[in-house]
Amino acid sequence: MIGKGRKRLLIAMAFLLPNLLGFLLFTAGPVLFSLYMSFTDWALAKHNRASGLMPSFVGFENYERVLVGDESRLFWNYFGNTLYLMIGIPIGIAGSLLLALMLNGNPGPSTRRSRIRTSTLAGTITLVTCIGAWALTTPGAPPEPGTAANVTLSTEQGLTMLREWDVQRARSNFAILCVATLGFLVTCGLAFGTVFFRTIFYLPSLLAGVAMFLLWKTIYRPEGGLLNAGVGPVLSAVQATVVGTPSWLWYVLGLLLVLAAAAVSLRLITVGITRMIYKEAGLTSFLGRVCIVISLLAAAVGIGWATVQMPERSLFPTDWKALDAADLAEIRSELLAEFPHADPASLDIIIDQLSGDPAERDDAVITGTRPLGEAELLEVRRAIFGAHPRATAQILTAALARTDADASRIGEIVFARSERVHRGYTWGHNIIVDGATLAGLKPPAWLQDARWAKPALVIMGIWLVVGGANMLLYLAGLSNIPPELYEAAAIDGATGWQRFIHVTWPQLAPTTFFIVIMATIGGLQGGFEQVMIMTAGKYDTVVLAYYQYQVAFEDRFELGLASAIAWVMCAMIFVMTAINFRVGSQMTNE
Amino acid sequence: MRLLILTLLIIWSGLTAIGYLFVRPDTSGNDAVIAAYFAIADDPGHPKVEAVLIDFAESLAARTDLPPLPPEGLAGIPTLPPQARQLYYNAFREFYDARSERPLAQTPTLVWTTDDNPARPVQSALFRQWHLRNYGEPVDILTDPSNRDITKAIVQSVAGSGPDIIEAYGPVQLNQIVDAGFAFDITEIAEARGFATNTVFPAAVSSIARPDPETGELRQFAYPCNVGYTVLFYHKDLFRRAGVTEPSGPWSLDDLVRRSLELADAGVVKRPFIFVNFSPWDITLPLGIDFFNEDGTASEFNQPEAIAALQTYLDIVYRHKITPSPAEAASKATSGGANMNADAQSASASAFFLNRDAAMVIDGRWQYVNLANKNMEIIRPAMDRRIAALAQDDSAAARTEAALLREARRKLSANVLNVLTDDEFDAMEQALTPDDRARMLNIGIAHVPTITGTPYYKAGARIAIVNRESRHRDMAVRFLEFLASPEYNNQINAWFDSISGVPAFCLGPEGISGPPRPLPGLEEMDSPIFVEAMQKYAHPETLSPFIGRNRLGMLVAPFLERLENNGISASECAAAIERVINDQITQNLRRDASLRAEWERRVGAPFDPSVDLRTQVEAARASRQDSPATTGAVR
Repeated sequence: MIGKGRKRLLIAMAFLLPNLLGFLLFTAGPVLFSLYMSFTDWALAKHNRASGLMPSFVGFENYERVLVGDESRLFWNYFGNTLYLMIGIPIGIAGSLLLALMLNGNPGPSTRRSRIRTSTLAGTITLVTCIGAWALTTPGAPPEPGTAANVTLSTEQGLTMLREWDVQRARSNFAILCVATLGFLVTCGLAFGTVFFRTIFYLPSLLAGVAMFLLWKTIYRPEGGLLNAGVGPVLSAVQATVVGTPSWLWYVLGLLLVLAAAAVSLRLITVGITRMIYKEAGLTSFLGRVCIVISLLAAAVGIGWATVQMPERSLFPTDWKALDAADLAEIRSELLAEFPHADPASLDIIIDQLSGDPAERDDAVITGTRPLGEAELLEVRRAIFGAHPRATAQILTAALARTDADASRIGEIVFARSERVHRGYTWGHNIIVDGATLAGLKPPAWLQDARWAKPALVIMGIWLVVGGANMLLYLAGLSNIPPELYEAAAIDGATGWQRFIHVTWPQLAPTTFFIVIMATIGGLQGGFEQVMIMTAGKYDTVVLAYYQYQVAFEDRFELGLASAIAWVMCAMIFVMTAINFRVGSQMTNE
Repeated sequence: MRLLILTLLIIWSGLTAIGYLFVRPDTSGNDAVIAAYFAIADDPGHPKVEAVLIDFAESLAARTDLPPLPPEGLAGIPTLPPQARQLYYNAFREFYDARSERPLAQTPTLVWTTDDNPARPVQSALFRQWHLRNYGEPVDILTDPSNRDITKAIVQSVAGSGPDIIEAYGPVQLNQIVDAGFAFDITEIAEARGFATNTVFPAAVSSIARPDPETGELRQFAYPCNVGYTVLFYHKDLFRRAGVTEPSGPWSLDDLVRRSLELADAGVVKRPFIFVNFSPWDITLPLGIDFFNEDGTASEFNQPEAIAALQTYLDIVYRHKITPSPAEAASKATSGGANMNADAQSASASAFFLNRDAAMVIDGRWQYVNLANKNMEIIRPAMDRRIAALAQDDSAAARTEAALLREARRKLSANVLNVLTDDEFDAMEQALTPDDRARMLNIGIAHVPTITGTPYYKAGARIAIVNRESRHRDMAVRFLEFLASPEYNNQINAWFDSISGVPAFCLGPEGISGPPRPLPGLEEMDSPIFVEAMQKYAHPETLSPFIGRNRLGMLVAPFLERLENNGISASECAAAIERVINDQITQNLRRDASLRAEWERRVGAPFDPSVDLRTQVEAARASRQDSPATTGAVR
């Protein structure tokens, strides 16, 4: 006879068995096997049926290779990349919190009737505005650069014609798009309340990751991509402001920034030291303050320095020696030697400009005199779309120098004749070449640029997580905060900010703790799909998960080594999670 | 409960039976093999096959249920309408199965992991026919494009489900398969059957054979399907319109820059897409500069010549702007994105050229089909116009010409590689007006320019390797033998699938020309430059045993990509590349005693991990030069 307890145990085991078997076969088994593999030299291409060779036990050799041996360069480099991509985690969490705060509650119209009324009104206004914007701003038919009449246009005429049409069309489309998007959001928000926005913001989590990555790949296209289409005009405006602002203003601004940073830092240090002396906030608080101070100082000094040293508006730009006739003749002959195909008329324009007063030079007068060819018209068109507001200088480049590097060379030739010129960047340099070189604030090439590929992945990562599960967790956390705490705070006269800092944030600590733990684990494990689809590991974007795949299946089929990498990653995740737990628990309890 | 379980079991069994009925393999036989029998009916070549065909022809006399045989006899059966053809195929199957020990349905089938090039079905059919002619027994072959990735082939082979014939590219992939133990050594068989290493272009030998690590004897594991390299294509009409001299014979990069700028000045092509599909290695390799030195013992990349070469690349891209930067090329491409692989980048470059957005492109002979299809956009309407005009004319000559044109149109519309008769070709050419000819692509072929002016080509071969684990290994070896046959190689040359890897089929009076004849405007696709490049200027890919190519690529890619983005100077790039390669080799030598021994044998000095690798190699080289008597001993 089976005892009652034993029988109950057997019944329980029978129910548990399917899951247990699955766990043992498909989770515990592979995990343990990979641990074993990490201590062997198993390489699929070497140890297989055909070769007849068996893997050998190599102890900790794989781990040694990964951490300090022949694989260490790549491993640590890719670990750095993984950490880089994790920069987005705190920003994403902050964004999720912000969204959750904004979407908590329903500030819109309360009754159904008023919702219908207000949303209909908003929709109508949107429609009318869009139609009005379309009717008023859309240009007519585009000019045809290829027609016989247009091919013989002068530079100025060609520029004006293209600028008028292209810029107007771009602005018109952008305005209509902005109005329509904003109107749609407002209308739907009024009609459906925060539910609409919650759904919209949660969409990235509902859609397949691969589809999102492909979409972002299109958005990131340097030419024709949505992002650069938006960034380009903004950079143009910034550039126009930079170029149009006197250098002394930049100089003063930079100095003020440095001074302000120094003053704020000094104040913080003083407070920090005072608090340390009186043990008001403990050593941790002090160290935290010191870190903040150092960061602020570094940032402010960096910004100030960059502002002061901005090449277009150098600190020492006016030490310009007036060029005499001999200088001009030499410059002309050097330019001719350097650019044998140059149009002499264009050279004369430069020489004329150099012979006048430097302060009065204006690139607006540098307009080519020879007719533009079809290719040059296309160049002009590209220049305009490429967000060069000072396209006249670009025209000069097209007529004479052909390329940015050539334009720089012109600058070198000209300024070799001047004295005390700081790094060759001067007012005159701007006048001649800035449209093509220095002041050309070009939008980044994103995924096609080694300097921007990783930031591009970070930006996309932030977008993906801001409105995702984290936002929902925060919304759940917010709904669990007892309203009497807010009432009590209101009675005490707390401001909105104080209510957030002293009520909301502490109450959300467990949620934040959970999100940070999961995001850290996900960040260290993740990145594989993004890298695989968007960059294929190019431009130094390989992360540890992708590297592991490369070692196991793309490079030498070193399954033992790949397993060791997996276990090192596991250990890192464990350590980071432990630190998170230690620090996070303390924070949550406080 | 029992009833429920029983019902579920019945439903499950029923669904399984229904599923089997729908998905079970086709056991009706292999029509492609039967087609091969009929295709060689006029000249069977092998007595066994001849006997089968004669007996089958005699057996048809008793069959009244079949449609009449075409005038060509059995050879005409594949051209019959599908239903009639199928009746004959079924009849042959019945006949064959009745007299043979092994029914046609059980014909051995080879799996070949190759691409989905339209030429592959033709080549497969040729192999079936060739096998019947030469061995008298049927064999079938299937292409498997979805598994052509070399890593897939290795993993599948490890799992025991690998292909019979593994397609690979160049010495790197050959070594991967050989090292994995799946490449069948065919040295003796190839020698005996006449497809040894001495039958291929010298530059392709390293792609099919490698020295035995112990004896140093060259062992053959593969045979080339073709040899792949790229030359310079240019638009003749753009050069002429701009008044720029067309490239003829070897030319230098200076010439390229000068003529490109002239093209830009003339406004016939927009910058920077004058010259596309260009990389830093098109400059460094012709100078003999590779990532590592000749014997692969160290990287000596940080040298003035390499820096100058990289700077030349930067100048061409960013100063002269005659070729697009990778970012520009990718952003202009349809697919976009950084993960454009080499194939996709090449495809977009070809598209720029095809649309006359670029005047020159570095590309391969396989582009013929795309070029021809582009020209067909003009040729087809021209033929239609001519046919319509001839319809007004009632003369016999007009009717004949219209018939020729209709036939030419039908053939070319089906496939630009279909062969036209001379009369059809002439009729097609006459249909083209001068305006048509001006609008069509008119392609010139030239050598790729180099710094020195001496052409240089890195020749890689697309190769076939017999899987040692194949169940039909002997037949797979015969496939490699087929790759050396005139049937296969003439087809490769005629169909513009690069060129044959066997010089005997390229150096004859006909060269590499078809049939088919290239379409108007594309005559130079049969240019002798293709063969000259392979014969005179091709060099094999170099390898170092001390560092894997894939690992090397992973190490140097970040620096090369930054150089291509103009984010790092040429000197910084060269120094970084040398440093990371030498560090990696040093680490590898530390780990592997046998590798270390080989390194010391090549260098002639003991390995010292504390000293820079290049310094060690240069010191050893200097000491050898000081004492010439020891040089022989070292090697």
